[in-house]
Amino acid sequence: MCTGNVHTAKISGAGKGDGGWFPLEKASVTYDCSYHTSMPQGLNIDFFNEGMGPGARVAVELSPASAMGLVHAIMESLAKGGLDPGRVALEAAEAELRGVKSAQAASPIS
Amino acid sequence: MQQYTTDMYQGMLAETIAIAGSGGTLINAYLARPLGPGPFPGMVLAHHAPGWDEWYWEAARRFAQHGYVAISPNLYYRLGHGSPEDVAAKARAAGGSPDDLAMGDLEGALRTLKAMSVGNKKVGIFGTCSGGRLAFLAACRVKGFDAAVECWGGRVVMAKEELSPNFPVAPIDYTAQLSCPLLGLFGEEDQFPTPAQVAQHEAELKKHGKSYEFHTYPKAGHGFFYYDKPMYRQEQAVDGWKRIWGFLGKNLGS
Repeated sequence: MCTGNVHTAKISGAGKGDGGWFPLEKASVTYDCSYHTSMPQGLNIDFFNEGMGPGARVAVELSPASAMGLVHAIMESLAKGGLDPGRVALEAAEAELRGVKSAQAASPIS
Repeated sequence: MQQYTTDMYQGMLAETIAIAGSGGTLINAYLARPLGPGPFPGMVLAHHAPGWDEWYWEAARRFAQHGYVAISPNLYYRLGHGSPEDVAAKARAAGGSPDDLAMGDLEGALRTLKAMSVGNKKVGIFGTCSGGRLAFLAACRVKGFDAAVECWGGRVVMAKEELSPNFPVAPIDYTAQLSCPLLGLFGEEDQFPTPAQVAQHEAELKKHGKSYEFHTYPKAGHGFFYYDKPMYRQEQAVDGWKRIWGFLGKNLGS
C-alpha cells in the first residue's frame, strides 16, 4: 500500500459475501489509493473472517466525505437505539481489561 | 529491446512456476519469456498493493514481447490463496508485505533469472505503486541488479512515526547503497508520493552521485499506467513505456 494508513478492529457480527452470510471477526480500515473509482484516494473497509480464508470478505471503498457521513449515521443510529457510543466503547475496554487480569491471575508471573 | 518485423518468428512462454523466495521457502511466481535461445536480459517485477494480479501477469508478457525474461513473484504467497483482490485485502489489513520478506522474495527471483541458460546475466527490476517502492529498495539492498525502474513509489520517503517492525527503515535512507542506474516515473498530481517527496528522493540521489533519470508527468496522478482504472493517462503512459524500453535497452543490453 502507498499510504501505510491502516487501522484494524476486532468485531463481531455477520457479513454477506459471495457464498452467503458468514460470521465476521475483524475489520480493517485503510485510507489508500483508490482502484475502483476516479477518486485519488479512498477509504477502504474490509470485513473479514480470517479463519475462513481470504475469500471470506465484505469490502467497500468510500469517498472520504461519504465515510465521514457513514460514521455519523452509525453514531446517530446507536444513540437513537439507546446506546451511548462512548459507554459501549468504555464497557468493551473494561471487559478486555478484565480478560487480561483474569488471564494473569490464571498464570501468575513468578 | 526486441524489434520484430513482420517476417520474423514470434513466440512466448508464460506460466506459473515455483521459485525459492525469502528463507528458501518455495513461492509461486509468474514467468514470461520469449521462445528461442536468447540470450535475453531478465526483469523482476515487484507487484503493486492491489496484488499479484492480472495487470502484473500482462506486464510480464509485455516485457517478454520486448525481449525480456520476466518473473513476477507472488509477494503475498504466505497469506493464502484466493482471488488476487481478496488476498491483497488481507495484505492491506497487515499494512503490506514486510520489507525483509519482500527483499528475500525479490532476491529469489533475481537468482532464478541469473541461473537461467537463456539469460544474458543482466537483470533489472520494475515496480509500480508500492511495488515501485520495493523496486527501489531492492536496488539498494539486494546486490546483483543492473537497472531499476521505479514507477511512483509511495512511501520511499517515510516519516519516523510511519516506521514499524515490518517497515523499519525508510527506503530513501538506503540511497547510498543504490547499486544500479534508476529510472523514476511520477505523476505531478500524485499525493503518494507528492512532488515534494519526489524532489527529496531526487536530492538524495544527487547527493550520493547516483545515476538516475526522473520524469514527472503533468496531468497525471497515481497509477497512470493502469489502463483498466480511471487513473489511466494514455499520453503519459505511452511516453513512460518508451522511456522504460530506452532505459532498459541501454542498461541491460548484451
